[in-house]
Amino acid sequence: MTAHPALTEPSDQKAIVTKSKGEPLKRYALLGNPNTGKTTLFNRLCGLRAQTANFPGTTVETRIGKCNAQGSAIEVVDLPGVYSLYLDLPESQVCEQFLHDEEDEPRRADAAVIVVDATNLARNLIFVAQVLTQGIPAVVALNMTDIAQRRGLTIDCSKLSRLLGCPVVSICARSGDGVKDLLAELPNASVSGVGIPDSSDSHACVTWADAIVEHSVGGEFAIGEEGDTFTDRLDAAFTHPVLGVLIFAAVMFGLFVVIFWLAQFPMDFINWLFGTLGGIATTILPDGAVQDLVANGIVGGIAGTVVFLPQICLLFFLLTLLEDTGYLARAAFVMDSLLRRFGLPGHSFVPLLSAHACAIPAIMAAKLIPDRRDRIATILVAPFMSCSARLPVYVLLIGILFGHQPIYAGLAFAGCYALGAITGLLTALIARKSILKGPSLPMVLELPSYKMPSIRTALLTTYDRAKIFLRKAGTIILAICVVLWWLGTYPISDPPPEVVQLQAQSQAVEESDPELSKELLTNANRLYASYSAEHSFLGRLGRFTQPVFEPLGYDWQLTIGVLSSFAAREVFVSTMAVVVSASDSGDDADDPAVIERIRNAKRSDGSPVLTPATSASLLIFYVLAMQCLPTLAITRREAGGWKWAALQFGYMSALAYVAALIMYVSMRALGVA
Amino acid sequence: MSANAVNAHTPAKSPQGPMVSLAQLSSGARCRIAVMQLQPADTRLLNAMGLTDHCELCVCRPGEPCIVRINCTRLGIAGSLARKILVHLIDGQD
Repeated sequence: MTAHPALTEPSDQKAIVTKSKGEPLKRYALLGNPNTGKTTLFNRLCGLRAQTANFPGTTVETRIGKCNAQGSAIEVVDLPGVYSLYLDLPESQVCEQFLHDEEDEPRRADAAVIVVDATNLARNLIFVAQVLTQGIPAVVALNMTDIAQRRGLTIDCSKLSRLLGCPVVSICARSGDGVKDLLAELPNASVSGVGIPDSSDSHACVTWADAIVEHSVGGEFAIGEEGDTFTDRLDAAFTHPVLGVLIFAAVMFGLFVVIFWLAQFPMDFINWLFGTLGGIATTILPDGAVQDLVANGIVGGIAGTVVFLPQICLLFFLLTLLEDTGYLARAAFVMDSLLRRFGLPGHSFVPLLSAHACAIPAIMAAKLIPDRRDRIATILVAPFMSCSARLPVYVLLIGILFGHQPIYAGLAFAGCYALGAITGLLTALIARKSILKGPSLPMVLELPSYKMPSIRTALLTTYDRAKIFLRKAGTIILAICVVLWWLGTYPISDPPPEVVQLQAQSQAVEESDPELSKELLTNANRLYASYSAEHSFLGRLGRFTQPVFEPLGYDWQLTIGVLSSFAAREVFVSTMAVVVSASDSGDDADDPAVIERIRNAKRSDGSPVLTPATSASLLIFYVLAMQCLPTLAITRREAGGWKWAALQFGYMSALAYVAALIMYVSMRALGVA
Repeated sequence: MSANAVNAHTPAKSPQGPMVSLAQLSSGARCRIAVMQLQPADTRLLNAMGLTDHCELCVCRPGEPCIVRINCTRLGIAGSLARKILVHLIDGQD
């Protein structure tokens, strides 16, 4: 076989000089097209010894890990999969900068490991050409050679190596075959000296790549592939306008049933564990500020963070499995035509659906969305979906509004979910036409081959996501919880005369009537809790800001409830139970007694705290308001700055206020108040 | 290849025969890319994904999305984009 004119042999291969001890570890960047098995190779090389970090100044994630190559430690960087270094996308820019950023030396890679899909060599070689022309030492990892062999392709690695001017190693990242050979070859990474066409000349690049394929690949189906009827049939079903939607609905239903069902066990355990730890802290530590801080502030704060973990882990584990099968790429098309009407791509559907469980994993799952504008729009509107934390509030308020009318109560529940979803979609439309104006990436996706998912990859991804959540968000959430605990607890008030009187009465009858004594003491504690809440910094803030909420019909008690639930919506019920001196243990919205007590709570003038108008107004407020600080912390991280979190909070709060006001005024005008 | 090089309403002729929209082809049709009447950025993305000038492809599934195969790669293309990709049929198919 004669050499193609487009191909030349290497003239100069410069091996990397091994650095001496004390110098930073040699850094290898993993580059490649999407779906080439780059991350599988990274996981194979680094396993748990990896950290995920945003590339400075961007929201593009890179994973950095360490592994041993020929007895010496090296650093491996998993860069995002890109089709070209020269696309106007943050991922492409990050890859390009990583290869030759002169201004920021520590970012640069010493060498590139270009991961190539052996079953799709021609297209992958165009990307290889782009990397090789950067003048960086490189090794080509020819992945998925097992699949290529099954398809009848034979690739001559030594010939390919000569034609590319750098080492080429055949590997199967999924099974680990050839990975040792790759590690052994890394020190021989070399700058290609072959004549590679200019990347701007796409026609020359295609000709060059085709010529290399022609000279190094053999086999029955070397050029082209026989029709894959099995894949065709699955694609036809999964992307069918009716059947595809039904399959997608079934898959999503199964996914969320599993998440809800499975997550409740570890969540209950976490609640029990931290409740026990808080109890132990209360027993061990002497009464006072330190005991309060540890038992309620720190342990309570950590519990408030860790309790989200089971849902996050399950969601990412199952989503990674689904993505690995190749199904999610097809599902994105199914929802695309619906969501495009609201300026969102089909990729947004999974995050928006999972936001009905919890907005935090949903926002983290928005990483699957390739376009930055689409991704931020999805992050901004995800908290509009009614999450499980809103349920206790819905149960309470709808119970007050329609306690004995189950049909109306059911409709109100459905209405809350619909209002949140519709408002979120309309907000996305407004955002994409204003602050996030610009063209979306066209809906073009590579449809990866269907395959059995890798449990190992799913577990590593889950571990990675959980670590990110606990490290980045956990610290912020914990700090916020401690601050809110402090605001709600301090200053410690002396018991008011009524409480002192009840305590004295309790002591007086302690021996003669222990039951009455216990009841009197319980009443004293309730009153004291209510008094303390009212006179805490948060209570004072509630009274101070009450005029703001007065147009919505909220008195100071409701205002405290709203302000305290800024950390988490579900806190509203327990706060209200304490503030209206209902019950220390009455934080269960499913308990009809709690609903009854809060329903019967009175204002200082004797009128009810919750009229139908204020209840409806409050319900609307909670459907639309951004009452979840952990979500804001995650938005800041995933969207790339506090400005997006501030916008999300400001917009949702303002919208909730206006909608609640309209509801209150309308109901009063109709005489319902 | 320049965007909007061909008026979408006028069937263009070339030595290889008439150009038709990718969206018009039926399952199993083989064709070659002629013109992509897309925004430059979209064209660059499609090029990078393997949909290059004169590349040969096979329609696996017409409609929404239009699924095509280029060598061993399957691409799903939104119908709105497929309508703007003009192709030459190979071997007088379709």
